Amino acid sequence: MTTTMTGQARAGVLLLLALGAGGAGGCGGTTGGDLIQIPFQAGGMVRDVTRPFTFTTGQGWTVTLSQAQAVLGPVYFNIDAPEPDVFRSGVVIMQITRQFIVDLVDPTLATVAGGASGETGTAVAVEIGLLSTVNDYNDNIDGGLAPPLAEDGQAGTAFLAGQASKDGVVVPFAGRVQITSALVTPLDPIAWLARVSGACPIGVPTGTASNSNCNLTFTTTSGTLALRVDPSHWFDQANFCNLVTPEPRASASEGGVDASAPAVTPDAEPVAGDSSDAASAGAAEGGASRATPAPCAPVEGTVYGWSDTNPFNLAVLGGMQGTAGVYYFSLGQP
Amino acid sequence: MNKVDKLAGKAGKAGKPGLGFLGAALLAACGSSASTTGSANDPQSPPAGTTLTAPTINFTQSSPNTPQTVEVTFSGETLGINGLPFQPVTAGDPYFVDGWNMTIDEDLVVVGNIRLNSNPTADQTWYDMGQEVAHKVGPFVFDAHQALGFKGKDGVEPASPMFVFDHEDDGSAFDTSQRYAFSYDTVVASYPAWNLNLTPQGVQDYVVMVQNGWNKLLRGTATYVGTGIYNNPSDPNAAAAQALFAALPTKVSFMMGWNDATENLNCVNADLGDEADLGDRGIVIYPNQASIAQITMHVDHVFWDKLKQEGAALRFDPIAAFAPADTSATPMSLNAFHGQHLLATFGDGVTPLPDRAPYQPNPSPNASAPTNDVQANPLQVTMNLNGVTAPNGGAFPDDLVQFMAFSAQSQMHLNAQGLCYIKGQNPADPYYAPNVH
Repeated sequence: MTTTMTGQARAGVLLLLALGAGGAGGCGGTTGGDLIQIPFQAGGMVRDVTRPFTFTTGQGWTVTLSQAQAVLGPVYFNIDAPEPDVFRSGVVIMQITRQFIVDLVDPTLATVAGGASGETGTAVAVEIGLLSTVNDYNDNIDGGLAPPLAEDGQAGTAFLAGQASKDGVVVPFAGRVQITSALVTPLDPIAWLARVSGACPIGVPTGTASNSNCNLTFTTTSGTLALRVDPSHWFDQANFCNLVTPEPRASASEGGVDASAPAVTPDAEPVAGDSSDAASAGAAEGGASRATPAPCAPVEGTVYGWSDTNPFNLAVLGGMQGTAGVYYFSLGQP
Repeated sequence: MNKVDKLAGKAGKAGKPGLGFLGAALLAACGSSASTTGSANDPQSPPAGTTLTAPTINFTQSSPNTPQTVEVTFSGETLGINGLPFQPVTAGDPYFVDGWNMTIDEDLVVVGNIRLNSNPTADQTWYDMGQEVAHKVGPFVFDAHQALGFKGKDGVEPASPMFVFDHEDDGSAFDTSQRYAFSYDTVVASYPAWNLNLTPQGVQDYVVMVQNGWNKLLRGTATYVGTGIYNNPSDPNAAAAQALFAALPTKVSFMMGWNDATENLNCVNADLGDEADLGDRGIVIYPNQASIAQITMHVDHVFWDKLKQEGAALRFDPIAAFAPADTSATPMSLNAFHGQHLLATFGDGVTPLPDRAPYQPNPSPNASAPTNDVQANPLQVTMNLNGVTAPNGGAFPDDLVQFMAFSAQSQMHLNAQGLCYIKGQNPADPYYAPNVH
């Protein structure tokens, strides 16, 4: 019989951080490294800031991000890949315990208070927490969240704004990627929704297909730990037309909707904001006839947001959970 | 030196002392004068220059049942043999939520480098274990659609014998006071190979596998048995979609070959408890009977709609949407099929393929509640990557069959449900890039 194991997180956190000189801890898997405390900085990818941040998604949308912020953390560097269905399994050697905000369109690295701490050794996988206010699961950012990440009763693990175009359709957008109780299912408990599990800490594996590695080695002279976040693949499974013609998700009973959750912004309502870019972009794109019908018909001048139950939200969240090519950690770089 | 090497070295020092040269080399009467490596578990492979050779199987479920030995068997589970009915026979069995029955016609897989190591629970790093003490190179090819002779590890499924580890490679007996890590590879088809149970069709297909560098080949037939009508009131195109659904072929024979060869390391032994508990890794050696290590193949993983998610829903609509009207004479080759996207469409490549699973009544009490069918957008089925990207960090190929091939890498287990660490499912591994050609 095929296993029917679900994706539920196991009870108890198997977080084993071997500390102490020589690392001769009483638990299995000790690495025996030296204790270290290093500065930590985070920012967007290095790019020419005089040019728009534009990229093409896996669905063929050309996206230009004008604003992009993400709330990340805590961060755990692991010496092995995570087991399926086990929360924070294996041995963690370095951690960043705070939540922090990353400006994804700004390549400037901003210092995160508290830095990173742990012990020397080589990490091959990293777990990154995403913000969720569900039962206060992961909502500990110092000083709380300010707009645009939090507003009108919503709090997002990311705020994204910009414009997406495809086949003559232009969709200006602005909204928050939210992790709410509506997304929680038996196969997707909050512990799984609100984290990036087993990402390659150096971004993408190096080496050959048969001998690749994701090693990030911490030493007593590593210097500053830096994180650069690339959101360009967050939208690879997203359809921006879902913002224009929002589709209902599965029924509330299946999604585990928390009746006490704040009301979500109706998908059909455009988000108030600067529509000048949207208007000009729409004018620039209009007019050409095409052999295939346009996938949707956004209203010119409208900036589209989304609710937590919009498929767009879950698609982008899935992209944020990308295990390669999204989160690039490095050591010793300014 | 990475951690794996460090711990392997530590375990080796604590393990059995090396005996240097082996004891008596056992040359099983396999109808050959096969090359030997001087291992007590020889012959390792069929004779050079041969193609497929049936190994001599000298054990049954009840005999000789030699203590302190490890009998290696294989099974494709009941599902691999009886298929995947829309109405599950057993509660919890996976099924095609969009209304399809599937019979399996052939399910070939090639395994090799089957090995036992000491110290399977060296630490909490799944693949860490001690030194290798016994191995069998192979390769072995078997049809997981067929098995007989053994009652499999779930107590119902049939299984078939492969070979016996009578001793460690150096001739010493297995130690009843310790467990042994069980690992094996899926390997690209090659000659010579041990043929465990191929039919004449399987023998022909193995030629194709060798030519194409595949390690797996699947033939099946899907038959639509759903009775529901897609009439989602929230879908303005529901009527048109239902018309498209109604126009799909109701029977699709297909075949697919691919290379997802990888290592399945230090498997959890489901005999000992939870199939995912690292504390349950390893084979126990018994003083009064043989131990069994059953290589188990789960056919359903190929059809998951979410990568790396046990219990994901199975779907066939995205394939049927592009299937020829009649595949009775010539099965649909998924190798030539790269038209379906991860955001699924009908055969025109444009019209979204909606999720009709919520509209498929399933009279079976064994059909699970639709909690495993959580399509974010009910108006267009999405094959969920679950964070998996291309090795270079780019987008995963927007191709359903590459998605299926990646998912299939997770098929291999130990003793029915025991999970193995499968290299290639995580970026830190020698990364697996799907290869269906």
